[in-house]
Amino acid sequence: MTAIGVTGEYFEAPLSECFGKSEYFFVYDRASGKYRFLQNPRIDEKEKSGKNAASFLVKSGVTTVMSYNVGSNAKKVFDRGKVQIVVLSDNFKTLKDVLKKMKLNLKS
Amino acid sequence: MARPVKIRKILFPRADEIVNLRENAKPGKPVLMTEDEFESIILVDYEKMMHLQASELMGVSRPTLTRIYERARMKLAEALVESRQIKITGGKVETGQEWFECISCGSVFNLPGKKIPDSCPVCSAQAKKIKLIKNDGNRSDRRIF
Ligand SMILES: [Zn+2]
Repeated sequence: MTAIGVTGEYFEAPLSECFGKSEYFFVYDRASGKYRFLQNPRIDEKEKSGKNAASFLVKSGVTTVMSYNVGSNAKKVFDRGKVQIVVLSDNFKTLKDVLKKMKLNLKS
Repeated sequence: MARPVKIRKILFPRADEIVNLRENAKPGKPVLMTEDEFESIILVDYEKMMHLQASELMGVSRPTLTRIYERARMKLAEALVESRQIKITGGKVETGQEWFECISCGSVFNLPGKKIPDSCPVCSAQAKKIKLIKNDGNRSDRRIF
């Protein structure tokens, strides 16, 4: 499963600046073609939000994460969980831009 | 006999990145900051970690981390007060991992548990469009820090 950090629960939502501070994670399962938006349960925490968000995603079975920035606490969790990190170029502005490049044609 | 310098772990190399703290920073004679010194600033000041926690991430002892960090702070101050540029360069560091860049869509990614990428995880570009980033830290806008 792939998780992308986004600021809203819709396809046009801008990507979030920092993975751990994402309001939502768009989670997509290539095998089944299913997707959903997960609310970041740890967004309100000032510290360690990245680490906690990362643990939450690893437990949810995510194997690849995509974001502009991934903090070192989150990265540590992802490394341990053997989760691939993709640092997106800022040519991508919204979730839709990324999905288009991934050639995913999802219906909202 | 000199003590061997322990390799410090950093997450992403900057490789000769020039930092201008002040607009009027004079080019030439930059303050040289090592990669591990810069990393210590990120961990301690930016991510607000305790020295112990930062030292664990960088794979050094707590006193060593504190020394690295104090040197980094001194260099920051020098650059700030003397209006000099900072050049981030050198230091015995390892990134712990190899990073790849897709020249087709600009994404940078790692490969846990694998050595060679078969395609880009975003745009599916073939391996020939993917290059290994070793010491190319020219991504000051978007990065893993
Ligand atoms: Zn690509």
